[in-house]
Amino acid sequence: MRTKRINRRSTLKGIGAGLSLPLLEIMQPSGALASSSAPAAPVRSAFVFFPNGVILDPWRPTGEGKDYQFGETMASLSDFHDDLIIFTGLAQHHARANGDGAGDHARNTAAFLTGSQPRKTSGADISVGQSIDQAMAERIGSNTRLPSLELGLERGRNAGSCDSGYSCAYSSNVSWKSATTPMAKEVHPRLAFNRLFGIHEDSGDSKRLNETRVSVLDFVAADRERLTSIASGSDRAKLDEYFTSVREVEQRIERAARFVPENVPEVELPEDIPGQFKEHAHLMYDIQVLAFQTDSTRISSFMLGNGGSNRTYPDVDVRDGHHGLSHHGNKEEKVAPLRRIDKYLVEQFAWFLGRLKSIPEGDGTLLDNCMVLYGSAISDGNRHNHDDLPIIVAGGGGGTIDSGRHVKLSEETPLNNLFLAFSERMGADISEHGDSTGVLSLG
Amino acid sequence: MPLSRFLRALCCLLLLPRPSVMAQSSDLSQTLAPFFQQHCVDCHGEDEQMGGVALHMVGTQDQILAERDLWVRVVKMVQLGAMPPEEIEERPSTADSETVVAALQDALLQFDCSKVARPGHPTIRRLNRAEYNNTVRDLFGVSVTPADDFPSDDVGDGFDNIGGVLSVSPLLLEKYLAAAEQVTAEVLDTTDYSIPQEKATDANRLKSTTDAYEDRQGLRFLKQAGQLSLKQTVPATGKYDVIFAAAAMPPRDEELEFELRVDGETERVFALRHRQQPKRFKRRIELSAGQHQLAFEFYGPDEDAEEAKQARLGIGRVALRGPMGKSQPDYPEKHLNVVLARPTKQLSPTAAAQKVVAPLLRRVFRRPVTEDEINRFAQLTVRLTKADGMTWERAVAGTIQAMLVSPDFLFRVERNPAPGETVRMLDEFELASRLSYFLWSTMPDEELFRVAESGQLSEPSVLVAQLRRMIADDRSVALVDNFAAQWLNLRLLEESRPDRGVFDSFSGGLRDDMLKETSAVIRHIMQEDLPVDTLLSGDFTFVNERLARHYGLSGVSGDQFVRVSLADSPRRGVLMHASVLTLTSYPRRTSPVQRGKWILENLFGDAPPAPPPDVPELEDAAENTAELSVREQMAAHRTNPVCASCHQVMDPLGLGLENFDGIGRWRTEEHGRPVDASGELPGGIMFSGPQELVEILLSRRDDFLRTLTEKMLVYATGRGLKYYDRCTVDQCLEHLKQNENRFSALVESIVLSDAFLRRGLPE
Repeated sequence: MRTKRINRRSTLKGIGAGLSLPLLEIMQPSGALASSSAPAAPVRSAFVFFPNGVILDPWRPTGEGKDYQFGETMASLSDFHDDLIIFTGLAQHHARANGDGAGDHARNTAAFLTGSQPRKTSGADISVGQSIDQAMAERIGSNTRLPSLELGLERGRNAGSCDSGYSCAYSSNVSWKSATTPMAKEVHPRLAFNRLFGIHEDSGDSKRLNETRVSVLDFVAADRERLTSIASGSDRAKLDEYFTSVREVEQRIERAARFVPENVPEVELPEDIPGQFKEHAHLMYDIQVLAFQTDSTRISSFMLGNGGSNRTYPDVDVRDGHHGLSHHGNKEEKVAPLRRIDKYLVEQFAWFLGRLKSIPEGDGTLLDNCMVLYGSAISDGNRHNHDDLPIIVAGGGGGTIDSGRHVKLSEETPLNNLFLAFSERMGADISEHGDSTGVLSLG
Repeated sequence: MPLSRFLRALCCLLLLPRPSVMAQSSDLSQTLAPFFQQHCVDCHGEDEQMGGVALHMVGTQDQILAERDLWVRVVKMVQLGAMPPEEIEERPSTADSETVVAALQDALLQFDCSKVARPGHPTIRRLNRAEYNNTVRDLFGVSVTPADDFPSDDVGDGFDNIGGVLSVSPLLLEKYLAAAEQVTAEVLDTTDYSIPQEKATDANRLKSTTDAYEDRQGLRFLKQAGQLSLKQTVPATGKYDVIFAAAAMPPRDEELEFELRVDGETERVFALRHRQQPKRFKRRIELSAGQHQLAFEFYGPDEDAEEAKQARLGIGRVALRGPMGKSQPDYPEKHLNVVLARPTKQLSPTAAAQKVVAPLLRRVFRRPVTEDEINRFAQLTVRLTKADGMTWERAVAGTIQAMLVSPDFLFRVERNPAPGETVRMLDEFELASRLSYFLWSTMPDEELFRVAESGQLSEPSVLVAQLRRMIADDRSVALVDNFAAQWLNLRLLEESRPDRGVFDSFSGGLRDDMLKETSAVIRHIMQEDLPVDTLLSGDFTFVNERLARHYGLSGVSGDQFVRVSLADSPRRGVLMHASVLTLTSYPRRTSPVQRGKWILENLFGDAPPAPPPDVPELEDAAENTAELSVREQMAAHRTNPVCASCHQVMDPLGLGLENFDGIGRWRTEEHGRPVDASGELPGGIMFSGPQELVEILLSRRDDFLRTLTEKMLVYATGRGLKYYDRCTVDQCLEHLKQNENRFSALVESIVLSDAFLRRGLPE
């Protein structure tokens, strides 16, 4: 049961209709950061994760370099032939067992952006590594209202074990603030939107509310000394995590005061989480479009499903669970629905790219200034291999990426090298990540 | 994973005889060293330590216990045949492997409890979503459930209340702020009554006693005798201005009269000449706090005069403004229960704030609070009124928000042993919270606080009396919703998506019924204090009409759940509840493997290791088998010895339930072929169908009791079990046995254990 909310159907009609306000008209830093000369548009990074791998044959393009043709799974990307790089040959080594036995789904999810080996534990001592989006956010996140955005479609599982002795935290999160703190994702479109634009539905006066919040946070932060002095070990770590989040939210409120959204886009958002996959996915993609368009953040991660998700896809007549099917044993009755799922998910991704491309920015489009990674750290769901990963990078990275190619890399090229190429373009100084061996060339 | 669970995995619960090699001497090197020398040390020895594992120094039991995690992995690897790796041509013989595994297991399991007795160290726990909602409900009597919008709580060791796993992300912290605001908004009226408030009613919302029409200016007109009225609630007794617009069409040269009535009493008669534009009226009236009716009475046209029939009265928007001057609103009770004082000439703001803070802070922090703590919060209230210019009520709201985002509220803080000590007895209030969050998923109630304050709670007899009281209380339904629903994976039922093309009788309503059935049975066992293994064997259940139809039972009608006997039905126990049968099925068919795994994992604490990564090769072996029955396909699982070690138990257990379809309906045929629900477990144990299967499971009652005890101990302490917890579990089982396995004995044995009453050092 909820309390009465004011402004429940917040306003707008833009969604899906290609609302396109030039970036700088919407968002002006009100403080010192405002610059008199029009700055070059910033580069943004989005990381889209899908679970359970793919059926590789129809995924693979034919041809190499600029002269490539889409396979069946990517047919819907035809409008974006020259906006993409499709990679063959990337690997995420720490998604492998490396002596830890089963649990590929949890491990691939946890390792996807962290490039680190998750500690196999179902309980107290979860540990993996900082994820690339958070590493970038730590360095450049203070330039925007939100350092980063974490979205998903499925809530974390809240019963049973998630995967073979791995804590559910691993399969529910790709984004990790630190080795031990997953960045919880928002799955509710309306709440994600409100958070993005600092809308408080229950209170008309955001400024006054934020002032109270700052007073409250200052007050609790001042108590840090007393509590942490009596705590030790894992208790201490939990309290540190709490106080770090307190500080983080204080900074966010402070940034919100500096970067005031002048025109909050009006979007008609449902009260509840949509039941239909496509509608839900489109809303969450759209929130990322709005986030980038308004420069509210430059970094997002988005989980189309939790690791090992067993969702059904009735829209494409798949009534068996995704994970169950993915152990397909090359049986046609399982491969066929999996191909439909792969294709369907790519179609939604194409919709996202279409939205990014529909928005003019500078001399080009918003997509030209984005780097959107779409992929998984499991390649074939049946083989559970973690090399030859299905990875697409869309967008021009601000004119720094030579797009429109199918790039075959030497086997076992670390995915983390690609992440370094992202962070370089984001202006985040990161020299290594996981098992990276250098910066992957995208030029 | 609790160690014992794994160790029992392949030796006990696979229903194989337990290895009998006892580690008599603490020196195990004679048994182990040759094996490791021959098969392991090339890669895991002095010169090379692949994966950081070195096995060249096998020595005493103490040494093995000191490096438990390593040796548990060794056991697992050798047992599964995963080590030595396939590439190594020289394989250890099966007999040698078994001997080594058995010796290590004994070393790991058979130890002297008096030497290793430790209460363990749960990482301090933050409230999870259910606990948060319940706690704010009990603190303030609010109906909001703000935690519904929180991100999911991460699950560790099967439960979402494990301190080490529950984290606080920035997103969650923002939600805590919003939640605190939502709670205070429901509890406190923070309206600033020093500024008159205006509440307006548009003309089209006025209630009319006779036909009324609206003109272009938005006025409501009456053309015959009648009333236009509205109801409005005012917060305080005092003076209010009624402000309204009126227009009249009286007969020529006359005035039209109308009355303003307040709660049926004439307040004033107004007279109005004919005018095109409405005239604005203002009338100051006295109102008491509460709801009032304002009415405009029109006397109607004078019947006699022909002209008079054109008379009309129009009323526009009606506003009530006030209270004027200083008035004290009549705050609702929940507001007054919190705002116990306001500053007055006699009471300084600081003193008033202390009066508000002190009683509340104790309940919010669930413990006595110090003067310093009270003063800190009281100063915040005062600061908010001064520096931030807030009204008293808003400052109190801000102060409560600070309490609700304080770590002392969000976490159940328990202090560690003093320097030099290794174990600390929980204090009375820490214990009260452990008890209330265990049994109720919420804060202690006043009685529990009172007992804690008297210092008696840790007295075993008092503790037992309290827990019995608490189990009898309705709030103990939390044990079903939060403990049992997670233990038995019932929360996963929500994720099940039976395909209605196959199961046309499935619906959301039926899914709810399934959950209610299982909850009702567990609740019944708790309240009647039945033996806990009734859960396995009970020949009764609770159904409503829809579920009865689903089960093919007659004589039940309506939505109410009633107890029915299953004596004439093949169903026995929770294993044959539609809930469990559905959540372990695929959308279109049953999954004997999942059902078998569910039994092993949840009832017998024996989580089989997940399939090796090369499992598809196995399925290749079963290719082109679309026409084979599920049973025949299962046989393929046993072609590979590694897989067979688990599947030879999982599969028959699941196949024994094949008489129940993917949503738990009884069936005797599938695809036109008779269902075969017979099976054979390792050791030549045969059964012919589900009832006999339950008999076999009941013969493993001790393992079931152990598993349930372990799960409940995890839930009660908020931490995964360690090897030394075997001692606690053994004691609990002894207590259970002496008390006919009754539910209350289970809870008592856990609450009276050191693991519950004490706290060790961080490990």
